[in-house]
Amino acid sequence: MKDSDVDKDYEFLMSLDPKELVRYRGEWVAVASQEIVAHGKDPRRVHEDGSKAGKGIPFMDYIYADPSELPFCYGAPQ
Amino acid sequence: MTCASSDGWIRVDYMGARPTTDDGRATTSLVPAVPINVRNPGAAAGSEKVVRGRGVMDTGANMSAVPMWAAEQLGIALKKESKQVAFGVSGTFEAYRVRICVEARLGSRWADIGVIEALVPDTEPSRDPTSHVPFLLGRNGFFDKFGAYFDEVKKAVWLRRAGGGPPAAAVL
Repeated sequence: MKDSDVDKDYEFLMSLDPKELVRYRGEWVAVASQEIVAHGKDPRRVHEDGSKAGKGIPFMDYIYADPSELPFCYGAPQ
Repeated sequence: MTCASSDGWIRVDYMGARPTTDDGRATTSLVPAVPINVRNPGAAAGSEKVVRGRGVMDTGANMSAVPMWAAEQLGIALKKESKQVAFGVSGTFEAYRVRICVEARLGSRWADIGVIEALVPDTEPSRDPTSHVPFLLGRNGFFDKFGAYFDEVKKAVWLRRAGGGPPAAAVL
């Protein structure tokens, strides 16, 4: 599988407008070639669909619905 | 920003996570994590899958950890005989001990971490297909290869392949 630029994919995810990001709240997203190529609740399916999209190795990330869900963040987010 | 200094230390900025509220407001929290590629070292040639995600750097963890969904996607066999009791912040739990092949994005390149042992927690959150248990990079297999300096003020980790002293920036 061709590679996707993970740095650009991560920057794309971080730069998404919050009004766009809210669509994926509580879901996994697969980002490749600076696009969300798959999303959903089940990371297995998201990874499979994202890998088949032909845009390169997808970067899998979870869009937290609440700051308190963040791993190892006991207390308020910074 | 990520950069390498002349003494071999690589600055890796914390990664952002963007929890988003119902009304479309996002906050950014910074977590000590790096992008990682995880493979199954036992996969047959030509059928190799890759899971790319973020690996949370956890110096308090003896072992690295892989969520069950990722182990399944990689075709890693979860054998009964590889099960062991592990200890975590939430108490004891059962986990499969497996081998994974890891690359970590350090600076502007992929660093080959190699084949390491990791745990796949056999817990309800890990089994749950909708869970978001993270990848953890622990001491055995990851931090035993690096000197590490966490700068919580700058939200950055400095890493260097094992050997040598602390980064010049850390000398007060």
